[in-house]
Amino acid sequence: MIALEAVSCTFDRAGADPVHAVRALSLDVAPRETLALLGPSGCGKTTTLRLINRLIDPSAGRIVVDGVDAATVDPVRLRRRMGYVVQTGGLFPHMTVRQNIGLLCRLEGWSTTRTRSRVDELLQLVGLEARAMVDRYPAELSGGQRQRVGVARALALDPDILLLDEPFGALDPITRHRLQEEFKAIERLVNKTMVFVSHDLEEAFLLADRVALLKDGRLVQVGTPDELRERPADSWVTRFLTSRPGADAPPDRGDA
Amino acid sequence: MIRPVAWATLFALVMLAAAPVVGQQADGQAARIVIGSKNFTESRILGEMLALLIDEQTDLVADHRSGLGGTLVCFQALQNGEIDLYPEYTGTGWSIVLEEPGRIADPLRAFLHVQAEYRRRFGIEWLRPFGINNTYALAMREDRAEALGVHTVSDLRPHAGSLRAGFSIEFMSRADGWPGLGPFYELELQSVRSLEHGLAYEAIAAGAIDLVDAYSTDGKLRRYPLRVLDDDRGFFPPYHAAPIVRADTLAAHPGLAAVLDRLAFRIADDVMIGLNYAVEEDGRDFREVARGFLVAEGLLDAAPGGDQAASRRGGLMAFAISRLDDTWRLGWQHIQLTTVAVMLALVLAVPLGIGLVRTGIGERLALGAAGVVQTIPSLALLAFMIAVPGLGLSARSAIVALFLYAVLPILRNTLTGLRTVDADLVDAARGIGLTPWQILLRIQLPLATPTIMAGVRTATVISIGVATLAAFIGAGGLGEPIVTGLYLNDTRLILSGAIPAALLALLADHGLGRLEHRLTPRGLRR
Repeated sequence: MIALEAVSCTFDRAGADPVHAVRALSLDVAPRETLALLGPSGCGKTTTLRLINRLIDPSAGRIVVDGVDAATVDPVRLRRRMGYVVQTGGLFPHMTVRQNIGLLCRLEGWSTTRTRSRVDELLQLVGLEARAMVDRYPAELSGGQRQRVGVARALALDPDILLLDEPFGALDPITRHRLQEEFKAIERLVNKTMVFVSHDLEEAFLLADRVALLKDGRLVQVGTPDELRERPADSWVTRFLTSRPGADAPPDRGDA
Repeated sequence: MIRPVAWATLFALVMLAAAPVVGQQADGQAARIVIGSKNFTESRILGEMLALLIDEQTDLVADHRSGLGGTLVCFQALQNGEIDLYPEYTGTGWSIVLEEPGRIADPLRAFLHVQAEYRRRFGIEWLRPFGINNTYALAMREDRAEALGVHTVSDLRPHAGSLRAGFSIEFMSRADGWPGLGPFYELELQSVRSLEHGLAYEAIAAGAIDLVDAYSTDGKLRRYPLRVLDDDRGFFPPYHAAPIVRADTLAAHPGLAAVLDRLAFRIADDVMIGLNYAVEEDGRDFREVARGFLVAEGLLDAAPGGDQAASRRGGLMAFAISRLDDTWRLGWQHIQLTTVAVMLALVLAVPLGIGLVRTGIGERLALGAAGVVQTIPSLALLAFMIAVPGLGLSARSAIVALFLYAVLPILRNTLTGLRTVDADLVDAARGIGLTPWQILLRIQLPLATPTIMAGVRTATVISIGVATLAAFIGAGGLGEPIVTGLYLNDTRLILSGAIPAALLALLADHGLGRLEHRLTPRGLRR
């Protein structure tokens, strides 16, 4: 479904050495698989996610989506085939819940009625009561509600692929656990190809079919949670898997 | 979502407001002669006299643009053909317009020289002078002059060390004023300071100073007990007033010169003092005073339409009510000027700001240019505008000047507004698949709208203030009574323009504040 072929991404910095955010990374994501990009701050996981929907273009290598080189596709078309959820929800503060979720539908030229029923359907999917929610503004929602709306928005055009950047990172532990459980249910329901970024081992092992472990822009190991636990590639993996059992690390925003 | 309806409504309002301003040209069938006059009493009275003669003794229609902001404005307007004629002074033509370096004392030589030079260089004709010589003079309080035995400027010399002078700013800065006069008469006074002319009279009446400069036909010379000192050695240049007319106007209307010449040598200095006094101190109407003189001289038939001398004396309330119609009319003009200017600025500055943010180039240049415009004194900018072809002495000049002032606040706020939109939001918008235009129109602009509106609000309030200066170039507005009031020293007249202008500014600020709130996306309101 998604194939990264020896992808590198280097950022030039004025007056400083360039940053190698991602180095020769190769990775396959199978259809309907959920893959977690896991690693410490600055390991390149967010950059990798942003490479997939071309928010960043790679310095070398190729990204193939659905058999087609992503570089040859109009980025806007590409992104509309991939839902995108960011840590804080990224909801537009001047739009109501309905407008936020329905924005892409309207831009795709859907009728008001069709958009309305789609929004209601999605709110139900993410466990929000449509009637109470649709006319609220993001400022009137709790953190958990905002994140659910963010997921609903990402699913609006029923994309085959869903990209999530630390979707639960900004939430308090209790809300986060509840949302993770619910997300697991949604995952099974919508059954899409998903790539999500996480710095939280427990979250990654709970939600992902496979986990890609990154360090300093390189792929260290990729496998199912069981494979990682039973056959760690090296001692760093072992340490990483044991050092922070379910630790609530601070939200990780800075890893370019 | 930006609210297109709101913008469209605003735009429609502008066009509505603009229509009368822009379309105020064509007047009727009879050929029009446009007369200018400067922003002081005497010039305006002379202008009224010329207008009355043209109206009633020719088949032309006179249009008097009174109170233009000084020699530069009048001369430029005359050169551009915005006006056909105005009363000018030989000394002014000599030193200000022709910039002759030398001093001249002989009135006839001065007149013949400016007449020949204007004809040769500008195609402007000096007609025969009115008779008055409104030159500078020194004046002293009658009792003090009597006590010191002073009759002439030379008589001051023995007392110079104990005399305090208060001279007008203009007199202090001109070669034919104090800088030349002091050395010429070898006067070294105890103190010399510059004072606003009206205040100088009050100061000398109160005994705070001993000497003032005066114009030899100043109406105040009759109000205060002042002795005008004889310029015994002939320092002050002659300032004989005469109508100056575009040569092509004279050629197009062959009878015109003869009619205007009927005023030649008809007005003596002390008569002019009386006329100025009648307006400034008795509070009589310019046109009425001008007509009274022409009738007395047998140049016009007795006044038709009776005595509508709505004298400026009387209670403040009664005065305000008597001016109500004028205030509405001028207020409406004021609103039109500012609305059109601010809307034009909005239409330019917002897209410009968007372009600058998107391309990231030229931003400093644009802000710098807009900033430089802000530092140009308003009057200078207005004076500059009338020299621009196609603008001239019209509302257009005022609108362009106001527009230039309004651009900076709107541009700056547009840039700030767009810049301060949360980068994560823009990133999220890109990530879910919005095109750059969709991000601009649906995310950035709506979120920047409150900031942009705050800029519009600032621009509007500034423009309402600056628009009071539009009266200096005859573009009307609430500045008209302020300008007239300033040179008549008539506080009530000043207030009758200043108070409505201030109210208008407050009202605009309040109204735009509400609009700003309404245009603020609901999700952002606190």
